[in-house]
Amino acid sequence: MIIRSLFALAVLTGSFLLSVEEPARAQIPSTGLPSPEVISNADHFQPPKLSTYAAKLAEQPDMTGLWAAMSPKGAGHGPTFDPVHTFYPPQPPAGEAGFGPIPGTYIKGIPYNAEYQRKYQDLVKETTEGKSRDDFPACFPYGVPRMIGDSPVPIEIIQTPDVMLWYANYGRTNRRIFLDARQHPTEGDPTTGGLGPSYSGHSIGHWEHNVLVVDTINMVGGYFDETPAPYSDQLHLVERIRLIDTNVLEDQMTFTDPVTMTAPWVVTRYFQRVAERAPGMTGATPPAPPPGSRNVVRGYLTLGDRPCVPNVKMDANGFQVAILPQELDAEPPQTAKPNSNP
Amino acid sequence: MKKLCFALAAMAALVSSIASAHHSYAMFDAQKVLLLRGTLVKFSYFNPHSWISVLGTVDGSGPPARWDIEATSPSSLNQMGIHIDTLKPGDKLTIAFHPLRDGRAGGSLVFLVTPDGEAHGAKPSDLGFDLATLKP
Repeated sequence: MIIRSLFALAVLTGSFLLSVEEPARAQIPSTGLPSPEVISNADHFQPPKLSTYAAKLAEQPDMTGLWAAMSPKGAGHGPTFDPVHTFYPPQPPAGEAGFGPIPGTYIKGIPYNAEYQRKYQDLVKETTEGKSRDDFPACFPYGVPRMIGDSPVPIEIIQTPDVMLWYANYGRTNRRIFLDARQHPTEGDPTTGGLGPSYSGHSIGHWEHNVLVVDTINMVGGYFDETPAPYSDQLHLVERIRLIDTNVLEDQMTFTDPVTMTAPWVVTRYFQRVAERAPGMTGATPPAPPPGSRNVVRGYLTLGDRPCVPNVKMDANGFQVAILPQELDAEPPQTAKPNSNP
Repeated sequence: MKKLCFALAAMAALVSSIASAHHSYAMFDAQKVLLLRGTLVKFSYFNPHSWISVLGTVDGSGPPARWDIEATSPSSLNQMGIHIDTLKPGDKLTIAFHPLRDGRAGGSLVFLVTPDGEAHGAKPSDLGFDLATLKP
């Protein structure tokens, strides 16, 4: 009896020691601080300048700045992914402080197969019955397609020689378009494969003269917009992105989805370069730079700079249920405080 | 009639350019506009949506209850003239809203009348309300 419990104690102690060691091995190894020589020479060190970087970057068309999606004049209540080919139900009476497209709005002509044609019809019908499957207000990210074609606020493009960044904090989805000639991850590759789909997917691009050609795969299945038009995680997106005027960007998107579509779906969207709306600035649309110039003024980015507080939770059937503050207030207070509020 | 149509079109244009695809219309009854009168309990100024919580009565009936009215993002509220310090607990307010379809004490903001009698959001006259009768 005693031997057994001593053995048990030894095993317990051993495993405790092992478990304490594990975290240390998983940490980033400490390679040491800079040498005393480097530190004492710091004031005299001449850093490399970005001249090569700048020369390489100078070959690219200037697509930097803030871009607001454009839609046809007089388009109905949205946004939707393809406003040129959208059916808009009759406009409701004035005073609609509405969020998103009116229930019953749908995109025409998506080459869905029979199964997904029916699914889309059902999804649209559900919205007219007061039910929505969109999990964005539960703080899930937009995903790349919706970020490109359904952002109600401007997105920011940042260019470097080897990667283009699309920063779209509103939809909590940013994308990196790799320009360094890498390939998409493959299943068997131990360094890149096996990561599975993500909200941003994997984007690789190259410049064909002044056109950026981008290939994107590995996206988590989701919805193009709030109508809500579905796509699967087999979605493949090829884009041709170019400036068609100093402050107008064209993104021609070709989607193929073997699970949902019978043919490629081509959608061309236009974006206008705009200045960031500063706090207190009136007017619904941020001002565009004067024609022929691209002077973009960045104000204080207020939109994304707060934690996402979910307005809904998704019920067991995948539908939104509003979370009312009075229900949160009725819950017992959390004992842990957020880091920023000691 | 022409004037009203123009006003409606202008309002629609303004609303569609500031509306944000936060979440679905679907959970609110867009056909109904109810009127809430009461005092502000809490104002949550957040993304993607803000909440205006009021202790009051709807259409004058029943004992005062807590109602949560969902509004848009801080930047959109700013455009309406509602800043982070505009509303204070205890302020008397009149709020027009679309109620939740499921019958809970909540809805989505149509317009808000502050203690000074100013309307923010949709124009009350566009909905057949007389602003003078709405002063909290």
